[in-house]
Amino acid sequence: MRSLVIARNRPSPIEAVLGQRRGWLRDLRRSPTLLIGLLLISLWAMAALLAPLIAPYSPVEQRLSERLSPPSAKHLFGTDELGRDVFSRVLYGARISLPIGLGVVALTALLGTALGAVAGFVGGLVDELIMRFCDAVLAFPSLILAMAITAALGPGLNNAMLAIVLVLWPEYARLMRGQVLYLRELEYVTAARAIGATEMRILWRHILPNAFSVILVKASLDVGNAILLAAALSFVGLGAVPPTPEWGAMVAAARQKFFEWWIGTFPGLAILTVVVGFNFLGDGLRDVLDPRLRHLR
Amino acid sequence: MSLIRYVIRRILVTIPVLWLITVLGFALTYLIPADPLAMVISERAMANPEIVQAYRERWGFDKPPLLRYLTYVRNLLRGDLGESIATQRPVKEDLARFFPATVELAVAATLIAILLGIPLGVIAALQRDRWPDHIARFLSLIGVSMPIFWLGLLALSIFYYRLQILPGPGRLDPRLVPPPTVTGLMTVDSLLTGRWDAFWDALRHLVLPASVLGAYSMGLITRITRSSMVEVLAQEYIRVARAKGLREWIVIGRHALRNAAIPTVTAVGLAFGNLMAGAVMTETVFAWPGIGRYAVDAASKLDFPPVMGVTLLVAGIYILINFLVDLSYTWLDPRIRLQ
Repeated sequence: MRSLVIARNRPSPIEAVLGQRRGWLRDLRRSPTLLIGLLLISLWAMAALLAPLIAPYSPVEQRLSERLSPPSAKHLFGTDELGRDVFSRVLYGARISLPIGLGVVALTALLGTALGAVAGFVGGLVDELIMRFCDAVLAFPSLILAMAITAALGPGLNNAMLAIVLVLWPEYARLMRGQVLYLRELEYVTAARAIGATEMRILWRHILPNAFSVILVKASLDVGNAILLAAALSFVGLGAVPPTPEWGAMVAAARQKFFEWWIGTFPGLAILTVVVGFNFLGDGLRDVLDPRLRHLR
Repeated sequence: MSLIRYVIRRILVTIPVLWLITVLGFALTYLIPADPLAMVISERAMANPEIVQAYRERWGFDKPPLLRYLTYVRNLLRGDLGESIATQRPVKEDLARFFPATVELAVAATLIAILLGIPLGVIAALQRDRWPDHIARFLSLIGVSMPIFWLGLLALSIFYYRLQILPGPGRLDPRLVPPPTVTGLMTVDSLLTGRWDAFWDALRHLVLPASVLGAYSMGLITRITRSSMVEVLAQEYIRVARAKGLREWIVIGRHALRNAAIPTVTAVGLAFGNLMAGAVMTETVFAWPGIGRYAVDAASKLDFPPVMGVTLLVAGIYILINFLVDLSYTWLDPRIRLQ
């Protein structure tokens, strides 16, 4: 009977790290940063999903007769040098930047966590090799390395994403390795080993779920970083190819247009608010997930 | 462990990392699907196999990769960073020319970030959960979330174009005769040669790019100073210091800040490392003739020797700063020993 009760009450890995659901909701109310972050991200997610419905114009349609018109009731954010509606382009931009940020971080976290777990768990020469490789990649200036990779592979958003993954993974590997080395020495792992759990089982059921919260916090903070890096690559002409309504490329188009401030200001604000959203989310998650840091809040 | 032994050990540990950087960088230049020659010579010349062959021999592209790598490392050990394929200029000379501009920018940005970030962090920690704290947290989060290239354009459009109170891109007004090069730092050189007009102008040119570049570091330093101060202020010795009747500023300055200094110094060191890389965007926006812009220009032309040169230089600085940060720990906290 008893084992049945335990089985039913056993929380899923996510619940295990988030604590009991009710406690989590209470934390959510207490952490305004988390709330603001979630709000900003949901707004942008809605914008991305509903862009075709709410955008008043097509993001690529050119109306040369209306070029460079300032914000008005007709064009909320004005129009750019080709007469395209900036408001519509900013909305459609969310369909590019959000998937890039989330996709890049998912890939990066997967690659880095896997390598870090292997390094920490296998140890020895494998560990040494992976970690020195991390050191070398981390010593590269990240933006210059990403630029070099993108330039070498050829400009474009997919190559820019690949470059960002290749630049960012070592931080996850280091973090995960540290977690593995720390967690595997804890008593419950020794206990699991004592009752005959295999190494694979220990890694999957005991170490990964407990390292999850640390990785999650890092990942949520990194979505903003990835969006910034992709926008920066587009800004220097290595990412999005015209006429893609990518925010960084839109800011770049405004470089020589100081008088027509609306062309660059709104896409820049879009980048800022999305990144602030993910940074608030990450900060809030850290407050909620890491009770050791809670008193520092 | 003695300082000298520690230094030697640290240098020995650094060598494999630097070596791996050269391997990675070389692999990158070798594995690229695009042909750097196509960027340099015209299409008509590309159609002529003799010219292409001559170029390949000139740059050693006809040799097997391992041999090319060994040549590269041999030259590197002699202090030769190779030549730019696009301009045929030695990378070392280019770096010597562009590096001081980046140093000047990065140092100014770090100064701004420290002078604003540390007081902001301390005030936030002292006024925890009150409005100064919320403002400081908000500012620091904005700082780390800001797209630098956009902030730069915004700053230019407001202070240069609209208000016209600060100069635009570049290091010096083109109408002014630049001071003779001594250190390569425009502000220092003009001071050394007594050129007050140039000093004032160079300083004014430095304000916008340095503030823009410093925004991220300021955010980072504020956050870390705040959290380490909050931790230290909860310690017993702070209560003891207050109970002894010490003045509040002595408690904060001598007892708290000194103990909160280690994470802060780490943050400053990290931030400086990031700055060297973050300078890429700032230099592009402000037409600042530093190594960041040099690297962007080279990368877009698939001209890899300059990119590798900049990378090795920045990596070297990064390693050096980390080392200095570690050394400073023993000075900040005598309980910490080098090992």
